[in-house]
Amino acid sequence: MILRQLPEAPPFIISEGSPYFSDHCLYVQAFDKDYSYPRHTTGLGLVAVQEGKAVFEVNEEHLYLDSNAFVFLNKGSQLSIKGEKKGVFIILYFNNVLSELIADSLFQRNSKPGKNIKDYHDYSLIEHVHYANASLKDFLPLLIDLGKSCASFHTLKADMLIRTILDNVILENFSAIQVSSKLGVVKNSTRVSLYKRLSMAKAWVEQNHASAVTVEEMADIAMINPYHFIRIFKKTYGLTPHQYLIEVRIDKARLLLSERGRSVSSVCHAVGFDSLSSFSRLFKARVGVSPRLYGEANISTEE
Amino acid sequence: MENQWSKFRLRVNVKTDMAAAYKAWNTSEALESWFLRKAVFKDAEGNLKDKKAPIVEGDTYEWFWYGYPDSVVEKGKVLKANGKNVFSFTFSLECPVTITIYEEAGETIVELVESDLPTDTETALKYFVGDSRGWIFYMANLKSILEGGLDLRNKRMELTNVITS
Repeated sequence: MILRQLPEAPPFIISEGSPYFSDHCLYVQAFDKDYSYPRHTTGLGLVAVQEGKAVFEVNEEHLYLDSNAFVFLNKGSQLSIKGEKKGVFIILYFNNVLSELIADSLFQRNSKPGKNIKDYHDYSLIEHVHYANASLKDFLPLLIDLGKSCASFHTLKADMLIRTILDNVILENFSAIQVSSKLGVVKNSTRVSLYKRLSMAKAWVEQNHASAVTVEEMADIAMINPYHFIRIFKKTYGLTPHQYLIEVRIDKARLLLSERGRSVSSVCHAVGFDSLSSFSRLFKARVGVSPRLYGEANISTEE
Repeated sequence: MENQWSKFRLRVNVKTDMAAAYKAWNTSEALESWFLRKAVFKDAEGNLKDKKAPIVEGDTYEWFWYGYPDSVVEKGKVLKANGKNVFSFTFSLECPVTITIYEEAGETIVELVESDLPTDTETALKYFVGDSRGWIFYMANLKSILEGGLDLRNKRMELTNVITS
């Protein structure tokens, strides 16, 4: 990995082709509310905010990011950046050759997705706001640290970490290609647009499951008519949006029940259920045991 | 003519016998005593190997480092392990690293050669300098451990940016 600051002039002029990276490249940039960076062409990578807030315009769509969110960048996209609240952002571009080799290997090992998938090196399906999990939040400061470190094998270690991130990106895209092929949409731009809207609704549910989420709100996030939303959500993921919400809440409940000192009723309310009896019934139906028994059997031994 | 940046060679003299020097490379347990936080080896069929089992040609590995979480993992393959004086494996960018053990002037020499490094200007410096610098520390620690001295590795997660991990 090579660690850099963003050059004053855009490194890659807007062109038909995307820039070539012979190595992973990490740009770390401090910004304030007056900061702006002009439109330019991206490689395959991701952009994340470490501190503060900034607006990233990706292919004319405005994405507002803080330290809880990040965006995958497809190669050849157009990106400009505007600071909102003083902070630091990073852009990580992946080595072109390595990303293509890994994707080739993954798709050769597995059956081809739908007939309408022409290019599995296209990452436009996952080019939207994602909510950063704890692992990614830990990875990025470590990467910055390794980029300027004197530790043994520091560049190699940075490459190992990026390889872990890159593997996840490629697997997510692989899954997105397979799932989106279930939409049954022939036109690529329509398939990408629909899939991204459904993904945004799913991610929103994962972030807001503890609130009183309604299917109408999910459909609003996806900007799709509620009846159409329910139909295509089920067709794509095999679950209705409401069933998906319950799955997310039960998954979170399993994690919380494994924490020492958590009562079943506190977990029930923490994951968004109003009724303890509904929670217990739905939990048992999906997990096979009651929340109380699950908690007793799975309490973490870690202090 | 071979490009000067395509490989490097490091030698360390150790006051031990050849068998002990080879043994330091030949099991997970031994590698963890002077080099890695955790060394996981699998045989050619993908079965996990015992920590004391000799490493052989065709084994694959996952190596984890002191001071870094499990997400920082180096994966590679054992190219040769003759049970006596040659041990070779893929490393950074799948470049072969070959360890050769021999005697010289009454001491045992452990020689490490990393070859086939990329030589384009952007990455040559990174791999040549980065890898050789890393190996210099670990070769010094190998000597220290084999001669009954201190383990020089930093094992504390909260301490970063040091040459000892």
